[in-house]
Amino acid sequence: MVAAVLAGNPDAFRVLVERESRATVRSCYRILGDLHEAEDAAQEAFVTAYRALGTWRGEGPFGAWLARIATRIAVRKAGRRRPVAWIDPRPIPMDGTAGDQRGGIGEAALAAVLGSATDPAHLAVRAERAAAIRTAVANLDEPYREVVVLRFFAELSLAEIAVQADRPLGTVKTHLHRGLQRLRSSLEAEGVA
Amino acid sequence: MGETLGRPDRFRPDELDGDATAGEQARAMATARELEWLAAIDDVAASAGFTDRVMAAVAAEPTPRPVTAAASAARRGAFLGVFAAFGDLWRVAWTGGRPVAVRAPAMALVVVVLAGTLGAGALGVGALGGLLDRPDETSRPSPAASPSPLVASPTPSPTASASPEASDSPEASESPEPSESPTVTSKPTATPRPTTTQQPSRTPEPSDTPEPSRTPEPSRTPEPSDTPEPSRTPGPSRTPEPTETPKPTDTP
Repeated sequence: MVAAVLAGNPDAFRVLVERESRATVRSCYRILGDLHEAEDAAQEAFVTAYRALGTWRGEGPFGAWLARIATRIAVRKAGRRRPVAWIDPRPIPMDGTAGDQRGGIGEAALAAVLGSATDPAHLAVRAERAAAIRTAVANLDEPYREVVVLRFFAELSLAEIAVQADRPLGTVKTHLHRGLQRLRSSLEAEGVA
Repeated sequence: MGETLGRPDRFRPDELDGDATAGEQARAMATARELEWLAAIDDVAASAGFTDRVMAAVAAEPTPRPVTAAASAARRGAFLGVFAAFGDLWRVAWTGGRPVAVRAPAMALVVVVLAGTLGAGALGVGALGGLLDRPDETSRPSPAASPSPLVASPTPSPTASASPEASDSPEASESPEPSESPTVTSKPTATPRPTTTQQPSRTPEPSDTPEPSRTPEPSRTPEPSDTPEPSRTPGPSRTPEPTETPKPTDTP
């Protein structure tokens, strides 16, 4: 597919966008906490990837390469804005499907996690807690932040992270361990953990 | 909380490095569960028109080629960008897995850039060699004894010749001055020349020190009394009296 795009067939890129858009937007949303910003970041990531497609080494899956671009853009956007705890006032769909026009939450998983998902108090607590975790992740130093974000928000395996970041697997493991330790300390300081 | 999510990619302890203690592992696992919980509640999807918006944005972009990336970096004037783009070009040109439509322009540009770089380097080396040769030619004579003196002699010789000239010029300037006050210095210099034979007569000049004794003449004047010695500055101006030195010349 990438070869077709490079050969001058831009429509082939549409297939890549349709295939990767969900994961890309989701990764950005986990960092930013706002779907509109997440889609902006994901769109910027797709355009950036399209421009650099000719230089893509082809090491690892295209989605992993795109995820690294997208999370970098999202982290940069998150660092530029003021910290805000987003509380979504809209009612959450109860059918368990992921996504309405603006994107929905996996309600089955959420219900399992929080029990009463419609309770405003629960929603407020959940939003505050999510914002605190996002802030703690955003405040991590590099390279720990990148490894944590790619592992938990982009859902890449450590082997994929090692390939994309061009680091040994052992180094990635060490970075992940230290990143989680620092994140734990930060969350404990915030009273979240 | 997140343990009930059942995600296929749940975090496992073996994803930590081997140095982690049991306590550290427990803390890391707890933090990982927090992150997994956040990932679970943030499981969103893109809106319906997202793909169309992305494709509309991509449509404005040129076809992705390493050559265009290098050209855009050069247009931006980003030196590092050009350098990185050339590295990408090199990799694209000499590694497989890419269509010919991508590799061929990359190869061509790499060859052109290499040829240009080598040519510019050769020209630079040649120009540098030429610059180094020229100073060698000038430096060779300098070690040689004869040319360097020739070159150096003009400057010293004028200085040497100028020194008398310079002495002349002051003399010339003094020549009018002797009639005036500066005669103090000019007298000794001016008088000797004409009266080289009169040098014996110069001895009278020291003997003329009585002439300073004539300075009592200034003393005659109450002027010194009027003003202290500073007024004697006119005394030196009285050196016109030395103009009376012609008298000594008259004496011979």
